[in-house]
Amino acid sequence: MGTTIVDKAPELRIGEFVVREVVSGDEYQKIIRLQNRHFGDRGASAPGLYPAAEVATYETTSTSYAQINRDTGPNNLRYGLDRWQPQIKLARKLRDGAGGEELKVEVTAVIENLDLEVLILKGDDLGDIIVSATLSSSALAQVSHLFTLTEADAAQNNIAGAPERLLSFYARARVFGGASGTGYMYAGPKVDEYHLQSGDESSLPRGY
Amino acid sequence: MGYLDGTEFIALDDEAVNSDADFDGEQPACAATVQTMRSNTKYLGSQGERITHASVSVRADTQDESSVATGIRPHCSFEFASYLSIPWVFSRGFQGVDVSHFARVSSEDGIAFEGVWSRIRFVGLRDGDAEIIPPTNNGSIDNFERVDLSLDLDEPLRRRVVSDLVIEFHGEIDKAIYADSINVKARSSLVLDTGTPTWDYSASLSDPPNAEDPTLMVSVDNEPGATDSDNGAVFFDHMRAVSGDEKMYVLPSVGASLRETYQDIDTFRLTYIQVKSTEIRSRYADEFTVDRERYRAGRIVRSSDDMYVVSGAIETFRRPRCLWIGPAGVPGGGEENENPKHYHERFKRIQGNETSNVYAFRGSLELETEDPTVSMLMNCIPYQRLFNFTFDGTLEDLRNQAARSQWDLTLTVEEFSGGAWASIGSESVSMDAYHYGLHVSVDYPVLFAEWLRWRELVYTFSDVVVSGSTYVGREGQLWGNRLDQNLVQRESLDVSVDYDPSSGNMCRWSLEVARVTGSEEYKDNSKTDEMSLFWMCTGASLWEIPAELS
Repeated sequence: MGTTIVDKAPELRIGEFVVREVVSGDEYQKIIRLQNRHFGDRGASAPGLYPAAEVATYETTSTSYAQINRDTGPNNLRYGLDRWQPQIKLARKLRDGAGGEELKVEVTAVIENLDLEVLILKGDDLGDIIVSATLSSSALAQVSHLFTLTEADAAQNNIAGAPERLLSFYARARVFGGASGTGYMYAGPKVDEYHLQSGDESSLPRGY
Repeated sequence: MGYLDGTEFIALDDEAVNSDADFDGEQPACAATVQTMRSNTKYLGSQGERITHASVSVRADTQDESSVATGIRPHCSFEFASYLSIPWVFSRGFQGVDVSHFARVSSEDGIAFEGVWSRIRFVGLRDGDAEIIPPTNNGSIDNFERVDLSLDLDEPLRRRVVSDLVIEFHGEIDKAIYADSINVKARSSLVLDTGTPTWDYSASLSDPPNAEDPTLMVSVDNEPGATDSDNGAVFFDHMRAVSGDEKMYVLPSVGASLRETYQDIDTFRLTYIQVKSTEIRSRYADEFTVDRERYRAGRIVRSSDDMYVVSGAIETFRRPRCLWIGPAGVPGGGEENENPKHYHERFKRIQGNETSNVYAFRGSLELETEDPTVSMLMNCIPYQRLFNFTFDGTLEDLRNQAARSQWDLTLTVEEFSGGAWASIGSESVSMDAYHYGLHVSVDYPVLFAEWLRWRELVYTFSDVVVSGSTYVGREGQLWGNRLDQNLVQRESLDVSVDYDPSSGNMCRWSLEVARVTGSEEYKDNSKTDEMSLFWMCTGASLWEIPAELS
């Protein structure tokens, strides 16, 4: 019990709220759970790289971090990650461990034999990097990284309470571990404001 | 911001209400709990989708200076033309949108200018007023910056509507005459004599956007005494020069009295905007407000008021959620001499000889709900690539003269599970397409631009590239004050997918397109080449529609 974030929306029926009938308490609990679930889904979303090739969205033979692998060949090699730079504004403040506020954004990809570095930049001043992370896998796997930002990180001029800043995303990659060979990305990098899941109940805002 | 006024979400514990087991169903919820539910319904109901469009050719960089603007396609025309024109689900309660571009507004003249004009339109619902976007960074160095625009309906929608969400731009005329100006004469109403030097539409323009690029300019025929369009001047958007010839196709301003020839014509530069990405955030009105007075202590709460909370919670949860908007565009050509380096094309085309499935679009997904329907909405303008087609009539006449053919569209969603991709839903639909004949037109500039694109891309409309460049020119624009929008043929495709959101598994989707062999019917029996038929998508959006909750 306590606060609950269900992974699937409960079966809530308006037919259970009939005039002159006693409404079951369980039905009210379903409203609470549906609203917590819905809040957990809220937020910004940006597309991954558009696949130009039939197989991999992106591939590289570079042993150092780069966006463009080469100047000739199929488009996913020629233009690579320099074709991708979405910007988003985060919508939803969550509770941090100390009862303050934080914002979370997740980057997900399906990769193989690849190190994928993702940078979050201030959209109003691209020269400043807020945070970065590397998503790595030698095997074909879904990988993700959850970025946690302060309210000031996500606000204009780093002032908590100011309007939301536009966040810019930038990525570069190399073969896994900088070794020789070929690294692949089959989907992503997909950017989503973090979807709250069962176990994230302490992140829900409580109004105090 | 006030407490329980719907401006913030406040999570409730399960124990906020009594379960049946504890109290046999009596007094399940106290007033404070219902007030909080009511406030949360209001908060969630007012929130719309937030989706970003990032075209394929943004030239990502960690810097924002103008030096990194090279290769990012400028949007520039004298008239309003679309940057995005996409099908959109306007749900009940829709109030408006906020749009943030990460963009650079500039001019190749490098002198003071007011900016670029922009307009948002909800087609059939509301056309926004033109708003000026000032130069980013005010002056000599035009950096990329955030640009915010918005549009609201006069009152919220009372029912769900599917229409188009359109974002348009047009440039402003720089006051100084183009430094290398030549006075050109008209060859006809739609063709100017360019004389010498030949106007350079070549793909090899260095560091594009380039100061000598004619698509960043406008020509003006100043009738004696005329200084603006209200005074008789005719403005010409530059559509395209023709390789090996000293003539340039132009689009005269709306309402201009077309003449066979015009007077001496001056040329000016236009301001333009380069967009790296665009986020669209929709807003909803407070459709689920219940006066707090109705929950006052000592007063019996009406069941109809409680129903606002219940039905509002369900309706807002089941509102369609936008997953993707496009087309994302097609990267610059595969060879160095195609397109100015890194410029991309914006519309997606598939040729009629493709009779087995080819990918039109692919992308990544994160689904949020259990077993939803994934719905794709598409705006298509199919056409037939004709060379000598001339037309002067109504849209109905144009349809009556169009070739017909059938296209199979297949939407597939796959889930990455257990280290492999597996289909979780797929659906096909057949589209009966009218293939409009390409022609030089003032009413349908999108067909005009497409005609010019092929005129320069291929030799006499065969499929062997022998001359010219693939300079994008006016490709990828719908002209908002003309009749382009009327050409759109809409198609939609729904796929029920089998998905468990607790898995957190990533998904990907694809739209495959193929023409049905033997489905073609030609109006002109001298033009019966299936390779002349094209399916073209000018705008599309993908939506997650949550399943029923019961």
